[in-house]
Amino acid sequence: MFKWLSSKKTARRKILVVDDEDNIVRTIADRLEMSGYQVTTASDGEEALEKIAAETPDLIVLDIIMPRLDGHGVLERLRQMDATRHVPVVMLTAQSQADDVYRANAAGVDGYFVKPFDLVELLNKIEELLTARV
Amino acid sequence: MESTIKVLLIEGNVRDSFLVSEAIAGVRGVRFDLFRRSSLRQGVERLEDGGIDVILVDLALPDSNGLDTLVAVRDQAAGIPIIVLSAFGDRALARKVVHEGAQDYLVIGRIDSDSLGRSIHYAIERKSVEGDLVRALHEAEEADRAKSEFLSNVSHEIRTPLTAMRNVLSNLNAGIGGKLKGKQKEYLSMLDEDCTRLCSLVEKLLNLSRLQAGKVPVDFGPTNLAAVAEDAVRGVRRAADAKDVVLRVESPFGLREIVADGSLLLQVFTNLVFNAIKFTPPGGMITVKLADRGDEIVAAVSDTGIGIAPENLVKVFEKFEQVNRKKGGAGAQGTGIGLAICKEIVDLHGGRIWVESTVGEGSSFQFSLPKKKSSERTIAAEGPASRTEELLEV
Repeated sequence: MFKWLSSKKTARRKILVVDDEDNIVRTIADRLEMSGYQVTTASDGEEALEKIAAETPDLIVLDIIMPRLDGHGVLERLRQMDATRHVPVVMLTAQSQADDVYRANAAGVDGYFVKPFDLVELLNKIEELLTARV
Repeated sequence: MESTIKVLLIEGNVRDSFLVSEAIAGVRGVRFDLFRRSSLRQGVERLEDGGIDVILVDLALPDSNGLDTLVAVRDQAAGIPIIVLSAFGDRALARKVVHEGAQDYLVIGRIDSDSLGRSIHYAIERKSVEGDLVRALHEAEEADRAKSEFLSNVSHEIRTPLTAMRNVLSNLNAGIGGKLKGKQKEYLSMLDEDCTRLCSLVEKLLNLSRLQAGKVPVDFGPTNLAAVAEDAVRGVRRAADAKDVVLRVESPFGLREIVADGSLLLQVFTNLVFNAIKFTPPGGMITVKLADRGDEIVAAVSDTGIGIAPENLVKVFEKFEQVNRKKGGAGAQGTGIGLAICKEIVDLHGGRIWVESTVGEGSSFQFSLPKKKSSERTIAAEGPASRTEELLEV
């Protein structure tokens, strides 16, 4: 219980939310902030990599289909770099296609949500991934 | 015909080559350019230069013989009609050459200008029809691919705004934006309900088109049907309780496992039971019953609902057909996609699905699943070792 509290309240975990749909980014960010997280956002893969290089987040929520660089590309690069290899990544996708799931798993994704997902379930998954890594 | 027809004649025998050339020269009303070659090699070289409209080829050449000659010419002559020439008539060979892609088979000794002219004319026509068919097939395949792609795009386009809508609702309900009051709460819960319905409709539509396109990976394994039915009932129990409808499962003791895709069958049971709940008035009862009929297992989902008129019984499994059952009360709407999905899944298992109903007494949706056929297939395909693995997974 104490562990849970400390992870949630005192640490102020940093989460990066990446999606090219502004409404989705904003609603997820609002909810995460309400739950006590510190949130940064990016609207495509390249911007995400820039934000990550500036400050490594504790967890990343990553859409797959995006302009410039897609979610798969971001995940694969993160897993190649020492600084980000172990950062948990939860992917969002609008297509529940076997190829996508396979590729994300192969690259080492930590969670996978098919749109339209339930925000509560996403929050639970984030909480679970962050407490597992205290 | 105004234009010139370019004919390539591949004939090793000088006398035969002369005879055919004479016959071609005598064809009236058409101008021919004749290119004569006396070996397969020379003929193929001429084809590489292009521009030939029709090929006349003797299968017996100095450097090639029999069907090999035809195959070699054919492979070099995509889209060009071929007429095979032979010194003697051979019906079996004539059939073979046509089967191998030639348009006609002519016996040199019987050729005259009329028959040769006609043969060339028809060969060109037939080849062009064949080309049209091949093009039509390609177009159909292309259209099918485009449809799948369209579906996948539409899916993406619909899911994206739905996600934002659900998130907004979830956030408002979680109190971001302040505490909700009476009507606000009521309206939000209406929005929530309709949003959920829209989500499930999109899912179902995609599911059905994927099933129809054969794109759903089917995972056959030993399946305990009674357990699947129990799972389905558990999933919809809340909806039944809310309507005060009794739900129960009856299954004979010791029902053997069958080889099937449990998660697909779970969808069938869930759809059928959920439908039954929708059309059964409060106080009614729904029974899911499994029966061993020797070669097959028959599952029946029976309700004490409003029933379906006889003239509508055959229509219920068609996409978007929801026959007039709306008197079941509020919430009895739907698109009729669920039953179409059930039918696709049961078809995949080699079973049948049907409905028996009496207006005012209730309906019984039933489907059969063969026991033997599917299990034999799996054992033959997988072998005993991997069957054990599948058992462990289940």
